[in-house]
Amino acid sequence: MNNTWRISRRSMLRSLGAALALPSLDAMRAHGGSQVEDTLKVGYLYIPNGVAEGAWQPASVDASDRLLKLNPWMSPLEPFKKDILIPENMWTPRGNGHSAGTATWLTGGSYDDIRIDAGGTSVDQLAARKVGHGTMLPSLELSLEGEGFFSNSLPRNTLSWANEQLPASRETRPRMVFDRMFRRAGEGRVDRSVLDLVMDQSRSLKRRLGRQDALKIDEYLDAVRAVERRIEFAEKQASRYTHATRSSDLFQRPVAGIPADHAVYVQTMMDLMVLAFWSGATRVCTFMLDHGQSNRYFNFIDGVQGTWHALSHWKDFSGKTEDDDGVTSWASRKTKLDMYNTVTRWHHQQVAYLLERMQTLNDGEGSLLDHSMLLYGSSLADGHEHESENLPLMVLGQGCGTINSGRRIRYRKKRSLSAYHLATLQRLGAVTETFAETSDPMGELQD
Amino acid sequence: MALEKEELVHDLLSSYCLDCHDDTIEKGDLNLESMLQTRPLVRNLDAWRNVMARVEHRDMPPAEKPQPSDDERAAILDWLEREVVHFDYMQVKHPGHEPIRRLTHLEFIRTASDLLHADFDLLELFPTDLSGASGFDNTANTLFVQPMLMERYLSVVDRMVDLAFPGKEDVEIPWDIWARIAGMIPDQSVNDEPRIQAFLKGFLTRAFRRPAGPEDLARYILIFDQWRQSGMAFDEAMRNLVTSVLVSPTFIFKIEMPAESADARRIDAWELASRLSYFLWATMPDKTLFRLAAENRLHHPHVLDAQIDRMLEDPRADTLGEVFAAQWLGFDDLGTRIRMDPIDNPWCTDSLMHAMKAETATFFLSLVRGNQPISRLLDADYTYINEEVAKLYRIEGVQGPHLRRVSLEGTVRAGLLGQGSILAVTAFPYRTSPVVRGKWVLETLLGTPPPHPPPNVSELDEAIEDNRKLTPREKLEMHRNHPKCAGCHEQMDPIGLSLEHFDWFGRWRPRLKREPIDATGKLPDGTHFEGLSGLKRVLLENRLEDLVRQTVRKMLAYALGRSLEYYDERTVRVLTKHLAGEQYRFRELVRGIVHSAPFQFKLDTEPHEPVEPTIESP
Repeated sequence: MNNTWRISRRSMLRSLGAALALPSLDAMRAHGGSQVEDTLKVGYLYIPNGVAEGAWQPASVDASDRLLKLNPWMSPLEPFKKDILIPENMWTPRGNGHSAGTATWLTGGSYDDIRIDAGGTSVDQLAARKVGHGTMLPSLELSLEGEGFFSNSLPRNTLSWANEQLPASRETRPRMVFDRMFRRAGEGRVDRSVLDLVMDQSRSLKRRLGRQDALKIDEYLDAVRAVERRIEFAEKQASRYTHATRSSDLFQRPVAGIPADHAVYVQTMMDLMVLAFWSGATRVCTFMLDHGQSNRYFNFIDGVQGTWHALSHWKDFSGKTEDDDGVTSWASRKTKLDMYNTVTRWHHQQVAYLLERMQTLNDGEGSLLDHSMLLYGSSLADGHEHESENLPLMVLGQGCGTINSGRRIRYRKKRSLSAYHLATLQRLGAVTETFAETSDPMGELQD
Repeated sequence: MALEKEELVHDLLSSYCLDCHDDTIEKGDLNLESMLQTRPLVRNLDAWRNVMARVEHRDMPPAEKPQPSDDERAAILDWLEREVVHFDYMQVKHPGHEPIRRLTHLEFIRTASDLLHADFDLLELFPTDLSGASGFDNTANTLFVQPMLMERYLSVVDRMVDLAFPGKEDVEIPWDIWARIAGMIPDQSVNDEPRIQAFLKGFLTRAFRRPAGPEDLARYILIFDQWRQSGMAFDEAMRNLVTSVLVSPTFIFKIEMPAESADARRIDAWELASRLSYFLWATMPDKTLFRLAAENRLHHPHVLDAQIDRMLEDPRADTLGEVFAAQWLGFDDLGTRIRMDPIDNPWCTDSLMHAMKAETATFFLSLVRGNQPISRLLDADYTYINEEVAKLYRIEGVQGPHLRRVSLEGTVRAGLLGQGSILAVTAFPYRTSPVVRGKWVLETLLGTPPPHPPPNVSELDEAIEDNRKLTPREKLEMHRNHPKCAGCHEQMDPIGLSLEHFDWFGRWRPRLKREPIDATGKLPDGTHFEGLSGLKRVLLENRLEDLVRQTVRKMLAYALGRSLEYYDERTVRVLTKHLAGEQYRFRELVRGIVHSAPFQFKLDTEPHEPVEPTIESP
């Protein structure tokens, strides 16, 4: 544990006292957007394999649906319930399941597993286009190294799409994430004239290619431009970061490789997400807390046996279905269901860790959590039934005062998750009336 | 008449299916509306096969929806049978279009190593290339360039240049070092041409795998002069040149320049050299190939054949086993798929899994290099193992960590299906699955995948749960007796059951949980067989042509770096037939692919309309 990079409690307090005012928001606010548009951070925390009934619903609410008590499986989130909004009866009408559901969670499209096509650009990438020009990284895509079957499957590993056919790449190694934020590309060697040269060459190459091939060169050009912007940004910010790096151990570089302890791994990635938001390196971040059909063993949690995906099929406890490993078996449905829920609670616990970090960090007037909206949830409801309706979803944070938190929203009629995505984009100032199939933003967030 | 029938079926599908499977709802991600408009229908072959199975087995439309009559079902199936199953591929003549694609991370590292005469071990610095439905990571449509990857290129190339041209203060890098990566003879710099120009001509030609145009040359000379004038040291400017070349699109991508014509054209000799080297070596062409390209002689069939023979003997061709076979047969997943628990399984070491993968890769290469028949994949009586694998196989007398050829005569093993790597990746951790192994043989090895399972099979799981004491075979039989499942499981299960003597890691086991193992099987046509030897025999007797056709398909897709399309089926069939006259020999297959129309010809535009290429496949 000791040699792993984390934000220590002490450094957190110290940086609070130091009033580092690191985020470059003040400078950016000058050019006239609203405060929400210039401040809001958006995040997406994805979990695979669904959630059983009872691990995502409040235990009691008052007459106006305000959360009084969460259910016992959600206990780690209890201290944060004023920052939680739980919408019920939302779904993704077009794509669902392990592969299509993951690939289209943020696009609102469908995915047929034949062509690589998620039906549209994902909401985080659209958000990055709107607000990313002011940050070093337009967006940050985090994931965890997979375990078991499907670890290399493209749709199960892809939430973010730069366009319907171009999956964004993702980072799984903590040190690489840190280096992208705080070290210059190529460690200083890359000369700007090198980039100018290859751009020039690409443009002349493009003119001689067919339409389809020219698109590929555009992809390359976009990538070079992004690097160029990042270097430019890093140059501007260099002194600021050097100062920050010295003044707090919050900026220590993580050790290479992947932490063996899964909780440390998840929390290290969460620290990086917090750091990215807090330092102003980006305002858009996705984090997959495992790929879309995770077969990771959670035996490291006391009382849990088996892989997450196997546990999600909790009604088969024989240990002899095609989803099982043939060794693990369970005494009854009840024990297996409890283990499935325990894995869900373990993830709630990690999310609580993230919320605590975000709550204690100052971000101008208010905490980082006050200025964020994070969507946390899955693309399946009950894992056993592969249910695609009433998805487990939560909105975390106050969204700069645009979210009336601490509530449950109960929809009588199924509501599409696209409505949330549209509402998010509009908060960031995107001039758009539609997202995927909807033109009806989720106004209920504020009601 | 045919048109009438088509209209009728169109109406039937509209009234019974399009409520859910149209452009807007696409339930189950199935859009029949657009599938009906995409012609020929075989462009959506798998999806139509699935539709046929659902209609035939009455899984669709769902019970609560209006049902077509028996005659109507028959009419739909009849029409699809003709349009999909009996589609005449031979009428389609079309070489396809190889889009530009970026090099895979492995190709990138190998190409840079060959270009700079170094041996870079930097693959770890790249994120894993994810794969789509096609299975090979060199498939053009899964090779993206994202901003993050661009950053990675910049830092990896920076490392490469540092490693290849280490700088010491006040010591200049000898000119010979630079001359070498440009493929120049050392004293070439003494003639009239400024030496930097000569260097760039040579270096860019090697790096871009074709002669550098005057525009490119001028661009690089200009920037070099600028760097020098701004006071940059000579070596630093040279390093910068190398860096710019290695991050340029012409290095990172495999590019074939389009000609003006809209007709199919023969690719030029430089393009052929690259297609050949990335197919057989997963890296750039060498000096000989470049020379033959420059002399424009590579197209001559006898020159080409000689080059194929030479290239296959070269160690670089090991990638046919380590990349092609590994990704086709799926054994590159060994290690990520199998969870190791060093406490429970101290024998399951990294070195063992490495050797298991090397076994199958080396075995596959021995078939290609030795020009063996494709059928040897199933019945070879030898393999390549080291001490650790030999222990797993309980074969005596093999000592030391290096692989060597070992006869399997008199053992329980033969061919691929007796190899640990294959047996392990077709099992779950700690447990075999006859269904998975059966499906692997049908789908991966023979290219005849069973249809998707019907919807709503979970009811069966519930029933099975009440019968926990049954043996795996009994459970499968129960499952198989269910009319909805029978069709496919009758094909899959016997294959997998005959391999039950091999445990989840490929070790031989005489019994399972103290019960003797019943490894007998019966194919749907009634043929009986037992164990691996029986399976091998029935597959070779009944399915040899499927095995050959699948080998052709997979190798062709890998060679072209794209997914095969319906218009490639003609080449597949012609080649499969041709091989029958050549005892199905592997080298003949490689030759056949290299001489085929899609390998030597291309359309420069995204093709949809059938066109006539000017040569026939062999």
